[in-house]
Amino acid sequence: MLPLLINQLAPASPLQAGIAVGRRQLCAVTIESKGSGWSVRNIHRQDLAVPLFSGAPTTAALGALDAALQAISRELDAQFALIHVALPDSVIRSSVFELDELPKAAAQRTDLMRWRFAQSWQRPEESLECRGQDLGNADGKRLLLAQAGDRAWSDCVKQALERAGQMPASMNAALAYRYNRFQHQFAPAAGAMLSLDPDGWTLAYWDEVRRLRHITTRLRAGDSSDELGGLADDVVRNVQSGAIGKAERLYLSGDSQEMLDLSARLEGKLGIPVTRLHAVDDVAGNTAWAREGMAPLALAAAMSS
Amino acid sequence: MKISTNFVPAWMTWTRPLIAALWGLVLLCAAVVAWLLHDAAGLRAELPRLDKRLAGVEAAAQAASLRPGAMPSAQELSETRRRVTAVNAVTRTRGMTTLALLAGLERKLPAQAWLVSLHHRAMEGEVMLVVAASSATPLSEFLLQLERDPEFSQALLLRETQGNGSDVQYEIRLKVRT
Repeated sequence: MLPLLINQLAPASPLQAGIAVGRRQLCAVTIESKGSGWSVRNIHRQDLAVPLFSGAPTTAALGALDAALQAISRELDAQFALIHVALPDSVIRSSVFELDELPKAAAQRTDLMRWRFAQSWQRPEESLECRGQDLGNADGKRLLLAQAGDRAWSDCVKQALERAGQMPASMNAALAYRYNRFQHQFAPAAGAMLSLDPDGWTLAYWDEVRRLRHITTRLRAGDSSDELGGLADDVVRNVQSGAIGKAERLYLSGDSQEMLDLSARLEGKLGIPVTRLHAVDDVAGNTAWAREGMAPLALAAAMSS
Repeated sequence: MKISTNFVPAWMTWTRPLIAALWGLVLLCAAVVAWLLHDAAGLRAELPRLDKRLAGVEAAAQAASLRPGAMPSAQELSETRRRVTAVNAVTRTRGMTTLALLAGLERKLPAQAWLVSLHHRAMEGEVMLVVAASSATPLSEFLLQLERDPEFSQALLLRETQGNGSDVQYEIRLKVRT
């Protein structure tokens, strides 16, 4: 009754925007609700003069981020869209912890996540910003989806957004938006999704109840002549390793051309079906630019809520 | 399973309920305003009738207005007030009158008994009376009735004496309830 009343009195925004912040590019996609579906309203891409997320934030990097956000903000300001910001999976890292017991207090959970990520990355605890989500019990263990962001860079992005006059409704790792966008397309069985971004790739594995169990993130070696071949081999090793388990299907998401190239290679090597997921599926409007670069991620972020 | 973590304050979780609550408040205020307007319209409709009535009252007051010379002077009013106060002081008594007391006793007194004497001190609210009968039974019945009478706070048998012949006399003191 109450949610219905809230929907009547304060309907969800008909405009949603996704901003994907990459190392070398920033992409913003605005979509609008059209009946029961969505339509792309506009896509903006801004190349960054200085790469982000390398080492500590520098003045030059902040300037480049500010300029890019200011450029896309002029149109966002006029639209009153609900904004979701996706950061690379290498900046907000995700992992699934298998615990004997889940700490009851949220602060204790955060401390535990911070400690484990700090140990894993050899970083000071205070440099990490952590979030967690209880995934329930499995095999006698309690699963916790743990995420840790580089505090310096996430603060940097938040402040840049604030300077650009934007107040995001959410900010999360690319994986979170992609998983939320495509989860209804996953078969009810154990599976895995390979997310391809210009800067890196992420392989997420889930069990038969579509609960995340293992997540691997790697930066891409863009200078290799057969970079996709090396990437495919790396993915095959991960999927076939005992740590991941048995995926019955592999899903691909990201740049359309890269997915096309990789799907044939992976299908042959893995022996399981490979399905390409396009964020633009079931989306109307001018989607020509929404299939490449950071745009699929920005679109997934916009459609994730 | 949906990933619901968020690295910025989740203002959206409370914004929509807040907007809905504000809308509810606006609707409530609109309803109150509508009710007030309706009430004001009702009062406005009643205004001509009230004006007419007021005019009638003012006309009647004008007609019945007393001339200043017809009123007694302040000195006369003060003298009258003083005299009334003096008369009230002279005639003031407390409690019931002797006549009312006798009427009450007559109703209570049994047929076989009779009143020998009555002394009523109205200022003190005290009654001394002597009743007689051929036996003690009707006198006891009489005394019992006096004790139950709510007009008296006390009914006390002071003395029982043997009168002429076989007559019995009760000397009773009554306190009138103030």
